[in-house]
Amino acid sequence: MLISKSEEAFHALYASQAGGVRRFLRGMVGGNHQVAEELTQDAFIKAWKALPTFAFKSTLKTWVYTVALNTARDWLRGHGGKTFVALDPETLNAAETESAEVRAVREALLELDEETRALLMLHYYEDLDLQEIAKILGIPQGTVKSRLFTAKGKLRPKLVAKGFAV
Amino acid sequence: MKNEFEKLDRFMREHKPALETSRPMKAPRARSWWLPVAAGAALAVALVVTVNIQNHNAALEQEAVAGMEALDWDMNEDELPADVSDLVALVD
Repeated sequence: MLISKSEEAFHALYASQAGGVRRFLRGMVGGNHQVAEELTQDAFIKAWKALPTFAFKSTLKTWVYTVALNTARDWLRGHGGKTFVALDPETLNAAETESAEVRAVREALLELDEETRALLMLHYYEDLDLQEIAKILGIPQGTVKSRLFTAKGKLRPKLVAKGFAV
Repeated sequence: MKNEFEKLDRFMREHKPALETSRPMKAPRARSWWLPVAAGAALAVALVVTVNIQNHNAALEQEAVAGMEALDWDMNEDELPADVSDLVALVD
């Protein structure tokens, strides 16, 4: 169905993955809703255009996240690796409704380098297993496991500094 | 083996941001190969028709001039030739 490139197929892919992809991208770029929205649309358009090259070596889910991660990397590179939280109404509104803990976690993740941040978000937020994360990051599963251990070791003191006993 | 990040893992999973809704988007349409071909073909047909009309008009003009020359008749100065006059009278 997807290879037929029908609009219905695209909508099915978008409906099932857009929420997670947008959450992931928002975390990557610093909580900015507008940027996350633009990058989500951008990632899905790229995924759609590249669909004929999809070789079924991974699931569509991991493939879409791979495109999303590359989209985030491009954006961060274009902004000198700097993330920022814009004061657009949607972001401010979300900041009000988000719990203090969730905000603190977001901030702690933003203090980490982008590769560590991506790894932790794929693991904790998107609930992807080692094999899926390995596909997305293009590294062996064993490397994912060791990097995850290191990443958790980097995250914990950030949260402790914010007053959480983790 | 004890997971030394057990508390961190639990904390992180308990404080996961909610799934976010994106605005619906339209599937980008693949560029059809036939669209530029059809546009090109339509332009070519329009050009051919225009050239044909121009050629046809030029041919008619030439024919008219040749006819006038054959009759040795200047439409600004001369009366209608007798045979044409007869024809006009007949039509009237």
